[in-house]
Amino acid sequence: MNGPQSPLSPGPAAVSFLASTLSKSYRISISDGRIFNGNLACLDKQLNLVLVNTEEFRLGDGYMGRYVGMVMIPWKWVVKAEAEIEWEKV
Amino acid sequence: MNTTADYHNGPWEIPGGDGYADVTSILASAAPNLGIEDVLFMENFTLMDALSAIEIMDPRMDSGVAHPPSPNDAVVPFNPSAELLPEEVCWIIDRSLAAEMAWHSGNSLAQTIFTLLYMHELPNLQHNYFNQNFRSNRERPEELVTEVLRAATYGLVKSCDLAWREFTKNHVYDGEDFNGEKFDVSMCENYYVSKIIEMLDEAVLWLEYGLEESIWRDPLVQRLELRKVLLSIFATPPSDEKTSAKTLANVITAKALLGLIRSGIQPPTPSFTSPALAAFDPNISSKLVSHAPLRRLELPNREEAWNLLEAMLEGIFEACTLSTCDSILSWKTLLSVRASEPPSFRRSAYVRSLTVSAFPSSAAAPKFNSYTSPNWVVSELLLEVALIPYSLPTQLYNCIRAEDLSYNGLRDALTGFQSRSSSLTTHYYSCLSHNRPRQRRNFSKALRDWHELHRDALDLVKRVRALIPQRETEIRLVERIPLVVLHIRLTLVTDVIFSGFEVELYDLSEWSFLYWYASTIFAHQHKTLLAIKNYLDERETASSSGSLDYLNTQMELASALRDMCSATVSALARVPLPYNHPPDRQRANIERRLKWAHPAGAEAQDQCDVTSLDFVAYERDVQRISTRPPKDARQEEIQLFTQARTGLFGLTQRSAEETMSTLCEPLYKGFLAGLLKTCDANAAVLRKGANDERAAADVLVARHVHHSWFPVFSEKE
Repeated sequence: MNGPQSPLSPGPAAVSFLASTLSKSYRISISDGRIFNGNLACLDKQLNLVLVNTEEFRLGDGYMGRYVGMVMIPWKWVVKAEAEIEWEKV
Repeated sequence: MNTTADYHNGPWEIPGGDGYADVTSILASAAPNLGIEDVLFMENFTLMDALSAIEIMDPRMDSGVAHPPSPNDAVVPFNPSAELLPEEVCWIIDRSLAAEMAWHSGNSLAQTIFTLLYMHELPNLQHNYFNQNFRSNRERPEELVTEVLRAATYGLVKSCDLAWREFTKNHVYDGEDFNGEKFDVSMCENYYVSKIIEMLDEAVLWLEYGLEESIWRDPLVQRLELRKVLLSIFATPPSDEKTSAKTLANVITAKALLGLIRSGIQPPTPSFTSPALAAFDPNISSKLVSHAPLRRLELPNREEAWNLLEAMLEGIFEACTLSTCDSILSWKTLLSVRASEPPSFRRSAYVRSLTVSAFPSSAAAPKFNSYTSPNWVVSELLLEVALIPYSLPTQLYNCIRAEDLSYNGLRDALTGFQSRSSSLTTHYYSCLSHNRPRQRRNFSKALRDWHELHRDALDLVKRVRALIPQRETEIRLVERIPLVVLHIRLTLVTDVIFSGFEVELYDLSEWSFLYWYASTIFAHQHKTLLAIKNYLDERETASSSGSLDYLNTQMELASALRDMCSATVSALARVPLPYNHPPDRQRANIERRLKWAHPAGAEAQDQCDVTSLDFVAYERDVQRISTRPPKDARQEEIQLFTQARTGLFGLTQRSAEETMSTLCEPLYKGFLAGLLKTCDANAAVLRKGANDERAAADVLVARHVHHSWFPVFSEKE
């Protein structure tokens, strides 16, 4: 369930919001169709995302998953990034 | 942002469920507000931890990256319930055998066996009784999949499981000789072999009646029968006379079946639209839990796979004959000669592991008293080489009981020697089955221990001489022990040197010293063997001439090799080097290359120091060679090669029993033949310029042609 699109958050507030989502579960969809589900371990200015305890899902006959551990996803491949959080206005 | 794809329209549950909120735009807006050095870390997570992350979409790290399609890829997706033609099933079986051979060659299971998609669907391949198709397809009977392919695939996977168990006995190296990673995929570990053989039998039965008029019936039956026999072979490693005999018989049957299969009709490669082509997915590793991306492997073709299987069967046959052989020296001859050959499937990792497994229960083992059984290897070796009886320790204890004070000292020295020599000789025999570079490393590391053992043996002799000076017989027996130790030690040294030539390890500038050093070792070897021989008296050799034969033939071989080495050193003086190192630099190179030759901390004048590097003597000989007139040099070289040739030819004329080559006579003769050819070729080249002073000084070129141990010289163009 997606929450309503938030209004464009002021910069520093976005940063502190993101900091609060560290170690929460993220679901990243990338451009070749795979979905990665893991906990956000770190991110930098280039928005390289490092996830730990990650599972990779690919669409076959239903979603098939395998454990891949610690991955780094460069932002250029990201189509959608979702965090498992209680939706709150930022 | 990249192209948006909407995954929520699919009928499947998105992994993770509903509790996620889209934060993509928040991330995007946060980026400009982060400093270039700012990184947000979660608790207890540092930059160091992040370094080992797999970068997604980098093909070097991400095993899930989609591979570019290859022209040979199937156009239809894999469907395990698809009905197949008989020749398609035949093709799949052949290709899966190729995958099996590729695995035995050292590749990963994910690149080989696991690419056969049917193996991941085995439980689903069974005939579905709720889906009766009354209009059974005559061309594509479903039993071809539910009976035949199912049985064949179970047989294949179980065979690999059994081979995996042999591999993981630690006789060969994971990552070097084989690849044992299973990627959490089941390999029928819990299935009984008998159950799978039953499946194969039922499949054959169906084929006999269900495919009666098809030309593919016989090829399929033969392939299933072959798999049955292979399964039996993998299930029965030779561990005693009964299992050896059974496996030997199975190997003969397997080879006969393989012959039938090879001479029969061969299935064609399926067309692009055939579902059979989809049975193999070379990129399966992207769907498995893998740690590093594996490259797509080209499987061997049908002929190559059969050749590999045939060679492996021959190797298994040999392992069986080894296990029923009761002479430890025959083991030594066979394994040493095999080790010096270029790598082949006759010595595949599975065969070598089998050989090591068979060793402790070999026929040689139970021949002696139970109290010496942990030390049977060294006891047997001492007996076969120098006729030292198993009962020697008892004899010694019996002599000394009167002198209680010294009893303990002798007992400690003796038991210490027994256990150390036992572990070293057992280690030697298992190393003979390692791959050659690993063997070379293990031998060079062991040489330090062999030096120590030699010292211990000499110490033992001293003790016995001091304690029971009057017991001539016992002393004469004990005095042989250090000689046998030295004999094996020198064998290891020459093995390390020449295995280096086999793998082309050495630079041309090192050859001269190496051959010179080898010639001194062979000279020591000859001396040692002669000394042992002198201890053997007529009474002893009358009852068992095996030792005398062994010593005589080994002396002849050592002599011939020494002559070849000396002649090579001399001729190498006329092979120009591309560059000249200063002498101290060269010496430093040699010392590093042969660092195993000086045991650390050894005293210079140690009487065990026969393997030390004597640069002074080397320089002296080189000087002598270089100041000799070239004609004389050539004459001497011709004489040495001819002498060596005579000795080697004499060896080829001896019987297999005399040369301890009853298990490998053609192989041993082949080894000698290569050396003979080298001698002949060299003598011929050297004769050409022998009579003219100027021609005699001509430069030469050296290349290893007939035998990996010695070069053949030729005129430089």
